[in-house]
Amino acid sequence: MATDRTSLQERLEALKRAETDSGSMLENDKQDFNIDSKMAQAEKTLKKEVRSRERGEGESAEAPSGPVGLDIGTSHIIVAQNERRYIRTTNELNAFFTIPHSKFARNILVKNDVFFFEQDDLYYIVGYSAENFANMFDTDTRRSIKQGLLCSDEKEGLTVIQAIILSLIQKPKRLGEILCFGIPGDPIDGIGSVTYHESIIKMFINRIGFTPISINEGMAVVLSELAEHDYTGIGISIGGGMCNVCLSYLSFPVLTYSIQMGGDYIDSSAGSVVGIPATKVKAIKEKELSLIAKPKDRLTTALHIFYNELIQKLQKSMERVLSASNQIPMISKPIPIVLSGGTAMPEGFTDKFQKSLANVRLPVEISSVHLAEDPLNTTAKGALIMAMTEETPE
Amino acid sequence: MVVNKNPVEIVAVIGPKGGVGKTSISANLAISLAQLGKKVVAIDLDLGASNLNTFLGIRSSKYTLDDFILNKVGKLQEIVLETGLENMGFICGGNIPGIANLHYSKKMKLIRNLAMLDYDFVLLDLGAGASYNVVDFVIISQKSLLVTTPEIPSILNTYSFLKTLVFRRLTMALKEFHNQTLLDLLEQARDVEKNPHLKRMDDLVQVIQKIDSSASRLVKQILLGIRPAMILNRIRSGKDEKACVAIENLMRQYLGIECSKILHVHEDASVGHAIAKMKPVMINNPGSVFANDINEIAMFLTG
Amino acid sequence: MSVQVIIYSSDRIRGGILREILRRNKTETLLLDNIMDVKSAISSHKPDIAIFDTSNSLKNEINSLKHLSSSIEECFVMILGDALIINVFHDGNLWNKLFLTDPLDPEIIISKSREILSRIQENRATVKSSDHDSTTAPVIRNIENMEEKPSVADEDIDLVDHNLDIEHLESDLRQYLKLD
Repeated sequence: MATDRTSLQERLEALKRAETDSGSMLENDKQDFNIDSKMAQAEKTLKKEVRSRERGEGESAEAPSGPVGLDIGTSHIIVAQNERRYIRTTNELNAFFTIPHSKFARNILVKNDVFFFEQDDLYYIVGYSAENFANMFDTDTRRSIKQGLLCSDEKEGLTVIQAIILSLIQKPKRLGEILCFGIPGDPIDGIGSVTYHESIIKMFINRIGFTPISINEGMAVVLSELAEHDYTGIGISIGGGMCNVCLSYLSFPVLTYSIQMGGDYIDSSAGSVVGIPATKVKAIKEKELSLIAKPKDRLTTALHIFYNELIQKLQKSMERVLSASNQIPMISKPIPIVLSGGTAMPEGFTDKFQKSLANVRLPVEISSVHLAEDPLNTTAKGALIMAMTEETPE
Repeated sequence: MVVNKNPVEIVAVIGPKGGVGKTSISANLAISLAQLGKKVVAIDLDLGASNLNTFLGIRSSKYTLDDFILNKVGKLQEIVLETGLENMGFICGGNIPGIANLHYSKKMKLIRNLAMLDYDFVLLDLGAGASYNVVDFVIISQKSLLVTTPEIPSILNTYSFLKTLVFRRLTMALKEFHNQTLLDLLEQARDVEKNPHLKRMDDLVQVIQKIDSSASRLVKQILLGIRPAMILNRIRSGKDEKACVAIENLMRQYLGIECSKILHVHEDASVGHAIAKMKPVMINNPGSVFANDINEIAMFLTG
Repeated sequence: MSVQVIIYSSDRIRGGILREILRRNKTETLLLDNIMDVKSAISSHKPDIAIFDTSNSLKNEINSLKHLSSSIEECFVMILGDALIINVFHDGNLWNKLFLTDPLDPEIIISKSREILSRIQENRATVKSSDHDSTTAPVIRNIENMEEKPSVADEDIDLVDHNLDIEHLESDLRQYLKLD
């Protein structure tokens, strides 16, 4: 089974071999192995516009008609599918909120089309609905994933993730359809097991009828954004719980790692300084933060400070990890860095990152730093591209 | 900075057939000239396939020729990199797609800037083949070194290159006469199969003489000025050394030009060892046969 | 098309990169991660080059590779990896070996492979045109990085036909250039 260490090139090669080996197959069977069309489709998909939306309240899950890309992030879960003219992504907030079981509460939830499930005398309100409830009670939502990995403190974390995924995507029409999901790189500074996280999610995805494959989140960014650079460069996904870094050479993820610091750290640090819940800080940050403009109040000052800290820690980690690696091949040309993820979205983030890069010494020369075209959907799109090049099992 | 009083000498190193060891010779020749106390800059003009840096042991570079061609810097001097060797600078080749077909205006700008460099020697490591981009850099050079090996394919490519060079140079000169007959004649003389009566340069000059005697004088003068030096690389026996005599005879008869010198570089395992270590032979094994041969070429250039 | 280069690497990423860069250079390759398969592939495919990437290999795999590389006569061997590890390959017959220490340098590998393949091809052409037995196993001589000169017995097949005299060569050139 493919893992994040498998490159796009390897997959294409495998498909080519399958095509060659299928010389004695019947014509109908051959159609499934049509490498040219798969390659062409994946390449064409890269150029398509991404149309993204939040899952609507009371809306039922979509029925997949082909391979699926899935990003299970600390703050959002996003599903990407290839449509005829565009890539469609649907997202749901990866958060929940519990209230005690009662007939009255149930009626309210049902009446208002709130996304919830019932377990152990509690109602689990999930997704954007949970955020609304948390704001109502002036408190924070709970997370099924912390710092990028399944959260050991929340025993129902996996159930919440499963509920969200099943609210976004139905079981596949064709059993064994490929679903590729993003996984973090091994954290260099923290705890938690990527292997456990990856295996548990694979088991669930398998159970609902998909063939699961995984891709490193940073690699998904490279696949999504660096086709014109021969998939050579550094992809960084800066999400809620962690920053994922992947140095790719010709689509081979030669170096991947993560640091367990992201938007949530900024929100909670700034929130605790100013004395407001992180959920509210997040909402303000997403709505109006600019890293170009001078901070206008205590909260934005705090946000600037913690953003600077994140960038410095990320770049310092890059300096240390890349310099210590003997895996990086000699790359004759400077390579690009592409940033993605919700935390990289505030105005001025890319500039700040680029300027700060002068303070570290990387063993590879950097040609440019740019923000992904659609930073929130980059990982899901990259995962979809990977899923599309995978050979569907018979 | 020491002011350079003598005009810069541009030396083109060409290997019309790829893989004849041209870049290895360029890199080590530049070092040898620098070791002789000459101020040298080696320029990787193997546009689109540059790798002189590898032979000099330079793994990455702050600037490349792209920066000059794309007008990111104003002067060529600004992209000269330090090599860590006394007296020697280096300009790293570019990698812009399509650079091998450098636009005329960019080429002229580059040529103008080459002449302005403050060095005793500007060593141009040119690409394989006989494209006008390569040929034009040879035309503007004071000296050209053609690298070949004793094998027939390499010798054939060298001859083809010289033929392109001669006809390009003659076409440039005869255009000044605004006489289409002369230009047509040159065109015909290129195709020896169809026009065997023009296959020797003497035959061609005689026909030109009949059309315009001043043009024929100019042609003779130009031909006298084309005097490339030939470097026969990877020689392993006395018999190999004779390969250049054959091509010299053909050059004299059919192209009307002479070699200024035939230089020999012997097969030497130290070249491979140095490449594997990413070090120039002149540094890795200065006492080797190859290094001695390169020093001979440097002595020839310094006169 | 026959396999020109056989790559052994137990590191999937490095092996993949090696295969990919050679593929882009229009070189037919076979990537293997098992030494037994490498042995049989060398005898069945008769490649021009065998690349042994020692990165990530176990001690006994390195010993097997060392043994295999010293017994290979019919093709060129490139050994890649950490300097300390590839040092153990320096024993014995070195004329057909090239050692490239880490970091992996795709450009050097490509340029050396290209050079080796082109010289092998030229050698074959020369052998063929000199009416030698064209079925002779590929003979690699005078690759620039030879550590030892070939023995006298090896000098019967060469890149250059030593019987060429100037007149003969000139006449060949005239013929090729259609100057006759």
